[in-house]
Amino acid sequence: MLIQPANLRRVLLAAATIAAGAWQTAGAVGTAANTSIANQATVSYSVGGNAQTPIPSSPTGNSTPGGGAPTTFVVDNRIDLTVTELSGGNTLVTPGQLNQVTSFTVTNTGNSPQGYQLTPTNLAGGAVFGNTDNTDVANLRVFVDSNGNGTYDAGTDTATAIDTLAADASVVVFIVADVPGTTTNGQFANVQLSARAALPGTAGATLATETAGADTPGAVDTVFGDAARDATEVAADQYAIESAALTVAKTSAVVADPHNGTTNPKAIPGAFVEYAIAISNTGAAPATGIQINDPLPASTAFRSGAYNGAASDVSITVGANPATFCVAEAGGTDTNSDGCYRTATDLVVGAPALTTVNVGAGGNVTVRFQVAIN
Amino acid sequence: MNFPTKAFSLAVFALLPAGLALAQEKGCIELKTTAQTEQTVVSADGKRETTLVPAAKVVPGTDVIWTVTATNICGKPAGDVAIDSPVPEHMVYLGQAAVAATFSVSYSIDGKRYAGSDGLTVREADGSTRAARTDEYRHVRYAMRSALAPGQTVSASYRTRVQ
Repeated sequence: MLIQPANLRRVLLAAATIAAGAWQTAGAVGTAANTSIANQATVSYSVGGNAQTPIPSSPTGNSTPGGGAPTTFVVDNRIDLTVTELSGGNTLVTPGQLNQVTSFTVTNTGNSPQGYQLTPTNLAGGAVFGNTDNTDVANLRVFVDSNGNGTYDAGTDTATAIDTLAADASVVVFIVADVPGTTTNGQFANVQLSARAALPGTAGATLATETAGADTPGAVDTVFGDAARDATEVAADQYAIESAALTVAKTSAVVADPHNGTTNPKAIPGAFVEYAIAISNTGAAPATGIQINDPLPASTAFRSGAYNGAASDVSITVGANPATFCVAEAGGTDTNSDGCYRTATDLVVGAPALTTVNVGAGGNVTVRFQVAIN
Repeated sequence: MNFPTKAFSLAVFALLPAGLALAQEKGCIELKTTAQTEQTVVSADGKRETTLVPAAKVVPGTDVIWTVTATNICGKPAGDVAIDSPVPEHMVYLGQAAVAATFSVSYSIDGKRYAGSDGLTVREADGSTRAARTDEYRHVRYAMRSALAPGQTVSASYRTRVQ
């Protein structure tokens, strides 16, 4: 190929552009690994009053004008990273829940692309968010937020290690765990994500190692720049277990007898006795799927039509709300599907008449029914 | 087209200095630039000592000390000796390290206007001027107050940090 002077100029310009591009790698995390840093001094002087041609320096000493060479070194690979908890608070879970998520951010604060091996662990003791660990979650798994939406997507976020993360880049990592059914309200399961630098492109499999011994001039050495100099950082997060804690109290009162009516009634045969079953939830989560099975007392007969203008058998109040009612059919079948019926021995009150007991006074449930003393 | 042009430009860069070097006679001063990093060692008696070693394990944040050394290799004294050493790309100037007493030190941002540490100013976008910060220095100049005698060696060093 014949290159004319005009072409030559263009070629040199192109080369200069490439060189300039290579320099524009310094980001917030510093100059990229493998960047060559060059320095060449120049001395000007005169001899006998006559200015001489300036002489550029070389690494070992140069005295020839126009000669010399830059003194250079290559920026080495500083491995550094941060792992931070993402949400700033714990993850609320209830006993028995599967695939519950805590979130972290892994950031490459080194100066070259890295991969990371990820390890989730249950912490033993210690406090996170001021809450001391006193239980564990099960089936701990870790997944990388592959689509960058910050939310765990089962089936999409399947990578269990960070393959390659560019310098100064971050990625969200999830710990996914199951909450044992044996956990109880108010317990805390503290977990930790550990990220260990690995060679990029190895799916976290080949751990990065520090270059031992002296610097290798002209080659990129690896230096662990993190605080502990182990290329590993951790962050903790927490599962806070919320559960319902139900309190049930049962009281009885004579509401009428055949002689005194409703005025100071006595518990004599033929008297009506009202039972009140009070349920309150002192836990942190609503109790759902509530069903009351109450054995009917011996020597009594269930009083049908005791409420709602003799139309209903059971009264249910929730908090300060007006009472609702249901019919407790005998025979063991809820024929009108209102949630209430009687077996040979029990009164059963369930959905839809009663399904949920919410936390606090507003959720207090009282179920009332009456019997007649035989 | 891409590959041949690159190959050609590389050849130009490689051949140019060598060709010039052959054409030039030696001058009167030999000039050397070295890059060093600090290494802290704990001696046998427990003292921590910082020594300078050839630039090793240089990562962002590492301090690198550049030393320029000039030696008069002629039989005549050299006058008006001035060594200009640029602060390399990706580095910031931190301060002088060890400077021979004969040197008067000045700095430059643009490589044209040199002044002492309190003489450099920067013009802001709004037209006002302020004193230059040391991290804005891009050149260091060491000018000898006296002549460099035959056989005499002087050196000066300054500290920079990898960004």
